[in-house]
Amino acid sequence: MSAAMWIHALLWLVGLLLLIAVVTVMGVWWERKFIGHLQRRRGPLHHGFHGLLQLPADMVKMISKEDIVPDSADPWLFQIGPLMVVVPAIAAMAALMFAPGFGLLDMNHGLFYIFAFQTLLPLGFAVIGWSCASKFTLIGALRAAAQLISYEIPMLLAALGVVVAAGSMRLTDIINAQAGVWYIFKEPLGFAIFGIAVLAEMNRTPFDLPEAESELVAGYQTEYSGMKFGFVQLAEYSVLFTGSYLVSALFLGGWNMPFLPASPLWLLLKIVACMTMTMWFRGTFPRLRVDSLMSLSWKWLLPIALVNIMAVAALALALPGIY
Amino acid sequence: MVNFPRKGVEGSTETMLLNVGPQHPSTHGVLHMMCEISGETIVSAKPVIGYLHRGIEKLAESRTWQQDIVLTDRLDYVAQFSNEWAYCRAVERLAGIEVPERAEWLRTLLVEMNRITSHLIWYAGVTMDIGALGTPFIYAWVARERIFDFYEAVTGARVMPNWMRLGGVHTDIDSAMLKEMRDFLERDFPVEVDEYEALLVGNEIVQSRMKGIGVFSAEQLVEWGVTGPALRASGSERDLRKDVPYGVYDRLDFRVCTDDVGDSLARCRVRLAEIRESARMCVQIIDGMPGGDVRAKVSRALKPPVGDVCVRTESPRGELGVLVASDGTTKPLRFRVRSPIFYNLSAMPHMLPNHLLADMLVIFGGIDTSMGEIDR
Amino acid sequence: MFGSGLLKGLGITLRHALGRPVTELYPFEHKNPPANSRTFIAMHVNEEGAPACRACNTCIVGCPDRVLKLVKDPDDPKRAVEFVVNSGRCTYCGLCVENCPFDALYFTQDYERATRDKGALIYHLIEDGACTHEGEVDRP
Ligand code: SF4
Ligand code: SF4
Repeated sequence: MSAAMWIHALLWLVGLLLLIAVVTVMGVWWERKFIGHLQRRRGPLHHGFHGLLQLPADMVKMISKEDIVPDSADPWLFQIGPLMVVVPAIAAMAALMFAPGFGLLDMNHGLFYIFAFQTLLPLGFAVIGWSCASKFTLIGALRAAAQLISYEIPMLLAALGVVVAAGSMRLTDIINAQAGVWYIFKEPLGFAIFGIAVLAEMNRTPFDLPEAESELVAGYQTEYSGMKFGFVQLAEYSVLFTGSYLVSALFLGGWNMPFLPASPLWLLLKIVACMTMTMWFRGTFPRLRVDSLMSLSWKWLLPIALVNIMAVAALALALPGIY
Repeated sequence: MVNFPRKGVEGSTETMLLNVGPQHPSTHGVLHMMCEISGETIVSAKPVIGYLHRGIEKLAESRTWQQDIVLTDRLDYVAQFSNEWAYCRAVERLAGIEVPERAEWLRTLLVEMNRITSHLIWYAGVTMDIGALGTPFIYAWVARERIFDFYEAVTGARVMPNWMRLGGVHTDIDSAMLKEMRDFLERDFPVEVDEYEALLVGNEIVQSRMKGIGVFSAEQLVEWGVTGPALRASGSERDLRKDVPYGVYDRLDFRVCTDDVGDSLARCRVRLAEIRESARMCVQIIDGMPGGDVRAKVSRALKPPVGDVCVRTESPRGELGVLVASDGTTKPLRFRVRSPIFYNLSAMPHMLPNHLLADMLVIFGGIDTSMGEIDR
Repeated sequence: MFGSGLLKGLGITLRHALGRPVTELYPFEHKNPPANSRTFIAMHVNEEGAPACRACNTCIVGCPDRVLKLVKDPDDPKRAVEFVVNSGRCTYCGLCVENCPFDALYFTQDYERATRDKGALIYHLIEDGACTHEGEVDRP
């Protein structure tokens, strides 16, 4: 690799980390604000413009907190657990494309790369839950692992429908293929499945069982405090961002907008809209029960996703110009 | 460590003891639940109580009859007026005190409002328990806050009113305030109850969680000593307000809210129906309120004759019984509370086995615990 | 139809999100409690500016929590030289104010007396036979 490439990669890396920081700050702020108003409250108000600086203040608090390691915890796994969640969550973001040719890695299998890293997450959660040697974290971790693995399959199958239609795994190609009609209109079923599965992947209500507060205190993160807890939160927001990005890119046309020139602005808008949707759900719905969560995935989403991908493939063969 | 009887669950290998509480987000106070679980299925459960014990029954023996009303507020701190009324009725019967007509109406009014606020707290808690991040919680809290403003304006305090006195009530409610209450309960409040209903029993996720969970028959529940809305959701018509009318209940037109399914969803429906019914009753009471005195003259050094009296009332959580015994002095010989929640909670070991851990909260919400009264 | 309840729920929360918040911005905005709300105890003065208390002891006997303390004037049993309120023990039940036959006590509507110092919760209503006016507040 030449020096220019190294510099390019380094700049992007810094950029992405900055993006994650900004996304987390803005995301948490917006979540608090929006849910606050859903609940007839005002949300953060006093630090900075309408409480915008609340999260940085919280971060400082988190960093300065005592780093508590439970006596019975496995010292090594307890330390590396958060990293095993943060690293894949951030690594997955390397393949995101924000405009044609504008992204760290425009891989020709970008989608595959993102999913590959996301599949590593359950492992991290399992390690976190196991290392704490607490019953609540253990149950939370097993729930997280079971949930992420069972929802991955319908999610991948639904995404595969898009790949079949676009004929490529490169994100740029997929998005450019939606310059005319977005895939949400061509594959509404796939969109529904993908949306539900992504919600579950992101651990958001109504699928937030791994951290079900009323049952499991805080699920797998119960024993974490200080910056380690912050890391787990960071991973969650990265996953939230990636998930919203995927929904916008695969089904909502990415940077395309009908009758208007393509621009990364649209993509950003769609991501924010998707994130807001998840917050709205979070503010309204209770959570599912463990067994209905599983049966939803295996009994409903999976068969429907299989039907969907076959239908899409058949349509793509039958009407090559349209699909 | 408690040795649980080992019951084999099919396909299980080994059970695990999970201590839920006493510090846990959803035990509503400080309840400690020892659950033996196999996977996520509860094999056996055992409530451990006593973390909130303040010795109220004993404390009452060292205070005068009037001073004990202060303590009754602290029994079930979400249904303060009900407790006060039960105690006052017991002592009034023991000492033969006549209560003025208007005072009876006022008492009934605030007790019914209290039933609303108590059920609102139940609503807030149960929605929180099933994971709704506090949105319905705060909606219920907003309406409760309105009613608490009335409490404060009438009694002088929001949570610990100490408003009833032996022989009547402390302060009268003027007609402007009554009108304000009536406006709120008749016009604004039912709209909000519609919202509560839509967010809880109208929500499909809630239905999938509650339907068919914790189905108990009325006979079972009676055997376990369960009373109140939890019993009425199983088809029983048992309601002391109708069965042995006290206060002015015999002059009000209301129906006992029942449901015959007997599952957790039915218990929610019954409580929501009771909220509506209580609001209707309050409006009736305000319309029918007679004028007159609100407090009979009772000596401060009251010495009821020797004897004892037991009184039953329908508190928001079930049958609240109060026994007072007098030895003819200014202090009670014995003050004993039959707490409905204590008996409802005692049914937990029968109710919980073979349910999932997540169902525990749903069943728990169905009986609406309040630790202040259990531990006393 | 399945899902209509979910949509209705979303509609309800959205409507509230667009409506006005109900929060009271407490330390920035003060709400005055109703006139009969019970907080800290204060003492009335009579026409001559002397404390209205006639040292009859009714309030002290009637208090369930032994909050009040009274020292009588040895020369004049109807005059209190000292009247101490240990408000840290008070449950604000209102019995003292209600029981006083001379209407000497009343409740203020002051709810901002939180302190880190337990001693600060003890205050005198009468000191050396004169009203100290402690416990009274003038709120804007
Ligand atoms: S309000 Fe009650 S507790 Fe406080 S001083 Fe008066 S009688 Fe005692
Ligand atoms: S304050 Fe009232 S009740 Fe208490 S001693 Fe003085 S006059 Fe008597």
